[in-house]
Amino acid sequence: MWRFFQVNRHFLILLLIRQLTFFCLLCLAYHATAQDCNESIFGVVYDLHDNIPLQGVTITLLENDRKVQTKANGTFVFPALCQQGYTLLLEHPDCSPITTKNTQPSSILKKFYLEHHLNELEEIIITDQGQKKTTKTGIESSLSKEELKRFHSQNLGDALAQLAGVSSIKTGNAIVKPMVHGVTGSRIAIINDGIRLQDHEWGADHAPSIDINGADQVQLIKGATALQFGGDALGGIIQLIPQKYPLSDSLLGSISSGYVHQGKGGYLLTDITKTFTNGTYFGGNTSLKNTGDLKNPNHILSNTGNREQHAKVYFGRNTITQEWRFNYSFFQKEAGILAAAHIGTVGDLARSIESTQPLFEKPWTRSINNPKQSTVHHGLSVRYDRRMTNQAKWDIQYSFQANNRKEFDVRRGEANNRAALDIELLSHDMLFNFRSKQENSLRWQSGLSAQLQDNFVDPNTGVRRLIPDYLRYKFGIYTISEYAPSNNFSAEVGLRFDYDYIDAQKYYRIADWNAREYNDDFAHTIISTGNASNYLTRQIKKFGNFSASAGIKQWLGKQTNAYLNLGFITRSPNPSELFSDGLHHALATIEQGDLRLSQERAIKGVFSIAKKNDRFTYTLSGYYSRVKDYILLQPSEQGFDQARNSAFLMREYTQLDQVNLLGIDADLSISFGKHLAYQATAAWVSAQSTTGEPLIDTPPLNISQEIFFQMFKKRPLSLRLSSQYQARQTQFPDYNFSYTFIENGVLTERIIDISSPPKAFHLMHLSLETRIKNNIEVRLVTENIFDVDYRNYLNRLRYFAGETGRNIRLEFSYIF
Amino acid sequence: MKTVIYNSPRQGFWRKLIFAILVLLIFNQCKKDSPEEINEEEVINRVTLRVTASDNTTTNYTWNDGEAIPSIGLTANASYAVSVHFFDASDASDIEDITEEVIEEADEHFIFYEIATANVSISPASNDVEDNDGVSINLKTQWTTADVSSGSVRLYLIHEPNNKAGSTRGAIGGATDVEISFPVTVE
Repeated sequence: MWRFFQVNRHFLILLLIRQLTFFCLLCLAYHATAQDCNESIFGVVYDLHDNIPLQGVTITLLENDRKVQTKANGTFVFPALCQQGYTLLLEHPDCSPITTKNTQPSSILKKFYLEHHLNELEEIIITDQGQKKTTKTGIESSLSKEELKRFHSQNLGDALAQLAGVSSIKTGNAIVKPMVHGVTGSRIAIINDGIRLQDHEWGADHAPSIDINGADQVQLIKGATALQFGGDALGGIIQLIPQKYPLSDSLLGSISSGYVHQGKGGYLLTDITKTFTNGTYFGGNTSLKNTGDLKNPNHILSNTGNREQHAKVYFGRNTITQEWRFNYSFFQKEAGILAAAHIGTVGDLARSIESTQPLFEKPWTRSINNPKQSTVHHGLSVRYDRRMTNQAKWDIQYSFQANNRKEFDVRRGEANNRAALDIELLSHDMLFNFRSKQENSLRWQSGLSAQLQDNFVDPNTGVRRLIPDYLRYKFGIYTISEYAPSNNFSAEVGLRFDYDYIDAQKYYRIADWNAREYNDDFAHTIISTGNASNYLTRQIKKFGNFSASAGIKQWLGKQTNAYLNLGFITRSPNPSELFSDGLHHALATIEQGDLRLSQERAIKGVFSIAKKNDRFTYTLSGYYSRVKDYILLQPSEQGFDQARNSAFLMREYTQLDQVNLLGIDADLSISFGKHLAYQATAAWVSAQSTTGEPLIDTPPLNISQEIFFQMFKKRPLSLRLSSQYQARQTQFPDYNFSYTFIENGVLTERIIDISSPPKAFHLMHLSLETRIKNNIEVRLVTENIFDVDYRNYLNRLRYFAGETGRNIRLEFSYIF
Repeated sequence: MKTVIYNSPRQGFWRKLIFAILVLLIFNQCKKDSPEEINEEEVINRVTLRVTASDNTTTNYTWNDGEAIPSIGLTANASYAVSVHFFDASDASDIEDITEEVIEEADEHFIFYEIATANVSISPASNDVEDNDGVSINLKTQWTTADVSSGSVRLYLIHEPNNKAGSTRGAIGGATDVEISFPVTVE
């Protein structure tokens, strides 16, 4: 009959005595009739956050102005009440008062919760933003909103590249994908507002559809920890965290507008949030970006214009104990693909590589022509968080994502206006997480996830589907325990299991089907024969993926901690690896998936030492991972056969028995008071198969340094001079092929070097920042000050043109 | 500031909601229609060279994608009228002649020949298709042979060339739609 809450033991005993008293009273009340007004209200008042009974709470019965105070065990009683609803006012010097409505006298003990440390909590909410940690023992680094401001005109990949261990793999300048610890794509997870972004299952040419201006903080969790987000992220996790708002009545916002010299473009960003004292908030942000052709110091990069539109609206209510939030975001991008990269055949590729100038250059223009890529992303999510009283929290979240990508190629006639590729991926996600703090030293967190994806490819393109139509279901379950007996030591163990089910329907060219001997293993998957040259097949793939992680953090003294993380990761092949079948125009390459691919299994260990104090901070981490059955795109055995007039290079997704990745990341910052600071990051990684062959697209050594200097007291002017050095990659696989030119009437066969990385480069950037009045910020940023003409190994279009030259950007922000 | 009272969550409601969403998700989309077969367009997978000798005998040399390229046999010190034709033969019952599209968009197309070691010279025929600037696009050409020799003739169909006057493939620019090397013997 009495429902006790689990509180500290001695309180429990006290409470028990109290309850017995109530019980006696109740017995008395039972015998009395309602008219006698012998009913009572029994109550106990707790602190909402630590669940400790509150003493000295004054409770006023407003109907007859009777007052009582709670005892040391938090209990109170109002005897001799009539059977009617009463209004109670609960007051405590450290708490906000609360009023209850229609409280009926009853024999049941009523529990009341007062918000005890409200001011303190608000402070935590606001000040904690910069250092919010997701894992206890993982190595995390992040970019704050302030730091993100410097990347207003750029994209997520560019901003992330500031963090040690992150590089960007690019296709031209507008399509930038982050790479963590030497891996990218499905091997890293990008979490936006708690939901994993789904669109990189489409292969390397797809940048995440995220506008960084919508994020408050971008966090990087390196290594295979943080299993709550997925068990397949070998590289790490990138998390975009939305802002937490104070429980106050305010209007926050900003408007920024900038001019970008490269591409003669501009951008306009707005951001507004209204918050109320009751925790309700709503707001939104928008970004518009528009640039034309970019320029290399020596030539125009024709058709590299870019248009972006992004909008986000959100509303929710945060009352500390519970929070709900609704979020909708829209992202649209139209990016021109470097015209010089539009080639038709391997011969064109060979000529492009041999030429130092782009083979296609037109006068500067703002307009975007074919080839171009157009992507649209809609994201909708609803989330509810609840903080339970017994140190437990849970949250539930539903999200829907619609991703559409269209590619337009240079085509003949009307087809030029029709997309050559049009994929739509719809994803529904449902997540549930439960967190609990058993005792002070032990915490655990568990969760469930379910996902449904529907991928549809528009058949009206008149071009073979790169990725087939499919349905995909995923179910995941995880649990993570943290043990922190003292501030000096903590340990974390996590387990996760995912079930991945793919049901695809795909047309195979009969010639390809036979060449790959699919009849031996997959004859039963053929549903019908299409127009004589195709088989329609149904491919069902099921994978059970098990992942685990373990980590410890040990205090070494002198503000220094050591971290050790071990992870076991299983990743099932994604649809692009299994089923790709199409032409990559820029590289004159036909990319083909392989139905026989199995899961990738990896172990990864990360060891780090981090020191942090006001003046000197560093993190040094080393990692090693060993991946079994590593999936990668390799030249196929058929290769390139000029005698049969193959116009394209053939690449297939294959698995290497074992790949070893070994790397070091370091960052360092030294502060000489408020006005002068120095920081540096460096990263190096080696990726090799056991046969000693290096992996393609492995980031070379890079070192970034920055000096920060602030002048003038009254109106501070901040100056930031940075240097970015990228070495030449010396470890690369040989994917060269030979091509026969006809020169001066003679056949000349030459090796076409598509493998050798470009030279090292060193760039300098300068940024100046000041405030006019109190609320206008002015930023003048010059990138690549010396207009260096360089090519970047991690740009897949590096064969066709150099990178962009000097860029000057001027921005005004009005903050309110 | 106002504070909330903790109420026990309406678990029943949430449970029902989650269940309803899951059921909706799974059963609504469980079935997927078979994908429509794509009719591949603008693929040039057949090229025919129609070689007419001075005695009006015509020989067709046809290359199909994936097959070996046929060898062209010519007589020494002779002259031939050669026309080139492009086809999409993906569907055997509906072979599409892409040559017409090339003629329609003569401004954006150009055919270029490179000759290696064979004693053949190629020039535009008088009845060749011209673009709006009056430049012959080399659909119809005149081949003149000299002494006995062998080698190859490489044909390029170029889309959106930068400079039709260029003397090498690189100088012409644009994207290559078709590149094919025919072995040639002059006997």
